[in-house]
Amino acid sequence: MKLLLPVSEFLIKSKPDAKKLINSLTAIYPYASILGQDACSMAYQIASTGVSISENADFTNRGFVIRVHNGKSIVEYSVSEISENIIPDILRTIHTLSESAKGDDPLPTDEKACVSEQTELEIDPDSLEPDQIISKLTDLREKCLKKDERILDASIRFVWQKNHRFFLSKNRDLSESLIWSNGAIVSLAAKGEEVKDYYKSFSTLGGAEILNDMAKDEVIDEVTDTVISLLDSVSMEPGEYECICDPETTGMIVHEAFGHGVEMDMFVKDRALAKEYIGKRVASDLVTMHDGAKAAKECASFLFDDEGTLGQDTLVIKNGILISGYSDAVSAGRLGISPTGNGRRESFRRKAYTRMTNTFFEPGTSRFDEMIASVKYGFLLENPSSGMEDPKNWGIQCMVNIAREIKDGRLTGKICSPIVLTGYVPDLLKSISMMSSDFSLGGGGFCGKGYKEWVKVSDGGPYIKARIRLG
Amino acid sequence: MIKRITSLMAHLNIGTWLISDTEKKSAELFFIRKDEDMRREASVREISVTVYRDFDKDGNKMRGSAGVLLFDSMTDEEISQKLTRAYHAAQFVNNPYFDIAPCTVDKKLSGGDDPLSLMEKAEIMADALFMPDVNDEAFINSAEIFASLTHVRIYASNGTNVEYDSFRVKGEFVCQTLEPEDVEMYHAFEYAALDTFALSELSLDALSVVRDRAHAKNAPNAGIYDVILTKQHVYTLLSAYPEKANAALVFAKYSPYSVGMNVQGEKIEGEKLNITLTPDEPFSFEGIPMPERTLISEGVLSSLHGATRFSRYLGIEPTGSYTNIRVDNGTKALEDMKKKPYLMPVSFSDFQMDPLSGHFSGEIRLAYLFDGERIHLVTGGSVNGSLLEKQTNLVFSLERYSDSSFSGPYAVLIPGVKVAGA
Repeated sequence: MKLLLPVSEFLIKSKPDAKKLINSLTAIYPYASILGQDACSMAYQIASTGVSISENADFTNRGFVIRVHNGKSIVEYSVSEISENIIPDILRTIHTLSESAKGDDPLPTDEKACVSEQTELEIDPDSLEPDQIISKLTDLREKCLKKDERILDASIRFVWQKNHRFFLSKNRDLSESLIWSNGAIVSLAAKGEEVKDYYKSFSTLGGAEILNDMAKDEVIDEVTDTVISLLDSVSMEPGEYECICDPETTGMIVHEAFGHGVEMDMFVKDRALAKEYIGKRVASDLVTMHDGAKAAKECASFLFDDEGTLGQDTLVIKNGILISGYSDAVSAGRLGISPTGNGRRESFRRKAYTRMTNTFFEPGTSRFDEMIASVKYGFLLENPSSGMEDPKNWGIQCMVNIAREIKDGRLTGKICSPIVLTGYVPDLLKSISMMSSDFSLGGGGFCGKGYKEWVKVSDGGPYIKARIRLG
Repeated sequence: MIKRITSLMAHLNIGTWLISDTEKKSAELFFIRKDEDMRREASVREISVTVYRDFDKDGNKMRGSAGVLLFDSMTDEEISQKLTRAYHAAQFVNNPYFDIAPCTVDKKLSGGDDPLSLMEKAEIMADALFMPDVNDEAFINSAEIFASLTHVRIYASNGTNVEYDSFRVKGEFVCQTLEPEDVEMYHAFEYAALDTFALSELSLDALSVVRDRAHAKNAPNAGIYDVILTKQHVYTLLSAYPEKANAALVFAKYSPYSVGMNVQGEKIEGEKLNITLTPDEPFSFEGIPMPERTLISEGVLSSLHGATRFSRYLGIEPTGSYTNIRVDNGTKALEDMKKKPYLMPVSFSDFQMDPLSGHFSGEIRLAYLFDGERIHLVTGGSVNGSLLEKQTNLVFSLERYSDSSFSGPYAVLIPGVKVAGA
């Protein structure tokens, strides 16, 4: 049976004072808004270092961000609380910021909207006793360790966040309570001083039901067998190869190699090559790409973004042609377009930027086995670990943990690790020659803007076949 | 607020605890070219509380813990509920008993009224950043500057009462040039003082480097190169040593390090490492004073470091965890390193060092390639190597470099590194 996540009592109690502040601000300034956030979390972890249960500082926040447009510029003030007795202080700070601001922004749009939403979940993690969660994680870890004596450790983690928000302006009253949960199993094995690891993540826009997915026998086999096989891995002979990317690696290419390049705050700064490619071919005919809070139901789904724009499903690439980027409200105003609901903040403490949400390639029609069979010599790429964007020059840097050799249409069992993918984004995307009908989306990761501003995202797609430079 | 929390803990019979109270004020400036894009301020406070609970399990003495975050706006009922849940959860955290960090009572406060507001400091640093940006050939595309003052108070049930201020100016900027090719490069900075000179120097250097990047067209040929890493990439490479010397990694057996170990191996043909741990803040999150400590002397590990629990388990003194290092000079001038063919990447998309596997890698955004006759500007391809294999043959420069986390040789020469290229 599905439950509805309860709303935040704190935000309900804060709303009358927030409305008073909005009234005071709109009496002075042409536009004012307040984003309220009350987020709590809990992280459970077991490894050879022991057990930990702790609220995660990155996911636990309580406060407000006040945004004002003074007729010329936008300024913001982030505060821990809004109460009647500190409203005069807030007004003074906003006044000082507004007086010294030198920005030049169009007035934000503020169409009427009054909606609210609560996530459905099966098991509220707060309804479980801590020992129920710890014993599940402990059992999982012990099964991993028992599989092979060469396993150095298995680190098992379960974390959830309940994120309650409201957005108030003169014409908008939006509220949402959502929960996401993530799980991770990291297996480690050592060969001399070198330690190899394998990572498997789990995600859901929901609650502790994810623990059941983590405990499956095939998961334990995968994380233990794979890390043991990595002990015999060799380094990659640098070169360009025919590659099959698993859905996770496809997701990293979608997100890191291309997705950051169509964040439209980069268009405003003339930092994105994609700006010149709208309406032009950037990928093979097989590629259709989406981003949006409403494009999928995963960890980055929401009703409205952190600037009060309702979430959408943005068609980014259609059959290889770049259709649109996605944007936050301020960038959209400057570009003279409608925002797409991608204005996201790390928390109420931070500025909103254009950020991705659920970003993916649509599936194709090929079967995985026929894709492998089509490769004369190349690699199956799995288990991506990180990537870095390059929106101006469309360079690629993605790291993957595993490259499985394919020879004459068969996997040989040889593994290269770790691998760096490099190259030029359109070359890679235009080389995509097959896409599988299998499709998956993962929300276990976070996305940074450069090296900061971490937000929850999901990405994925089908298996793809492409030519990629590996090192 | 602290009194409310400690009273509630007393009422709940929570006898052992650690509180870290952080109040942070920041002023933030955002620029597109030299025009202000937005200004923000933030004033936020959060209080982290760890509660400990002792119990016996299978005849062994255990000490579990659980952590929660509290806010000024919470009612007594909310605080009490969170503390109760945490204390309840702590009994299921089956960690062997350890003594919490020793009692420390000390203050390191900035003192006195500062005549400049944080926003004024951010504006001064903005002026310093843009000072070298004087021609259209290469310019700053966009920038972000964050000036913050954090006041931290740490209390523990054993009487620890520590207080300090931490000022930081951090930020990032992107340099761009349009001709002969439209390219950009990203740079980040962080200072613990209003170091306008250092920021202007960084900006000047970044504007020069992006001009070279615009002339780099081809990737180096795939092959084996003597690679010279410089500045922050030297730190990233060497950061593997303090990471592997952390008590948590040693306790977990992820790291084989022990005091007295030749961490570079037995046959060192290159230069022996001398690394000192330097503090980022005056106290650890547990209130432990953090002086400088010798980490590695002539390639031999002098000390481990780490938080209390893992230090107690290993039977060593809890020191707090260090990430910043100072490294002794090498013996070779950079110009001498450059007399033989080399590849010197000065910008990567993201240079990474994995301390567990020893693998380092990065995609090259700009490198200087000397083939024995000429220097070529190259871009693309990647550097891939193993520090475990290369650490016996490292050569460090006489010249030095320093930033907020690293003081050490300006360059390191790593012979025979695999490069994926054209």
